[in-house]
Amino acid sequence: MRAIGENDYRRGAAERLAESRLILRAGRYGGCAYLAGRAVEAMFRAVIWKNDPEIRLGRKPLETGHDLRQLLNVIRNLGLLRRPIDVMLQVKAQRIARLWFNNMRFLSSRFVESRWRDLGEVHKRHTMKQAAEDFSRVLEVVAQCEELCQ
Amino acid sequence: MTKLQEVLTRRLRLKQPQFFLRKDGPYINGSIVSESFKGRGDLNRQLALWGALEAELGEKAAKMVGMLIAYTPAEWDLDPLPPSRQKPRARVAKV
Repeated sequence: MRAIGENDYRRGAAERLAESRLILRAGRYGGCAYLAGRAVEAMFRAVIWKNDPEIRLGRKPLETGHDLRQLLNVIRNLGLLRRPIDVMLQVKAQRIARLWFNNMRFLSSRFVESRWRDLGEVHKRHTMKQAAEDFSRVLEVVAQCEELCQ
Repeated sequence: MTKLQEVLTRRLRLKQPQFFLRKDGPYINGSIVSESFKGRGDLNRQLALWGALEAELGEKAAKMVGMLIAYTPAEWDLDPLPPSRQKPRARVAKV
């Protein structure tokens, strides 16, 4: 069987993003944030595959599971998110690490909203809809970030 | 790394900070958890971290530090469920 490579992950990322936009339009904000996160996961995997020869050649397993924070740590440790490269990318990476969690997949939009409300992301003047739109925009930028795949 | 922790704690007046730092190649990467980041946006946090490092270390900061992420304790413990894998989470070791 053909092994999965960079291009497969990148194509997967593009598809998950498109699906996430559809879900956002349907007003399903928890699912939208979760799925956009999966797109970022695919992109991160493409970046790791490309930049870590041990992973690419199958000599080392990627022990991150599907946790974006863990994947982000791997990318960070590869030295790909250093500040001189892109300050705003670091800011976006920080936003993802703060707000996205792997077990979103099991939880209702209401639960995600309540977590985000506790963190001050959702409040009177910033609804869940706006928070989800903002967050998916950040995820979208990172998932499409060609800079990481140079 | 101790110097980095000292600089950030002092300059940002961090309350009860926890540092999860690791040296990877030439760079120190990691996460900093403190209640002091509460109410501060992502850009503000990054500017504060790098402002403190550059004020103290100058150009050496960018040569020494890769990426730091600032969390509040609530953000650090955001995921309400335990990880599904049997292996322990591969977060960077606490320093």
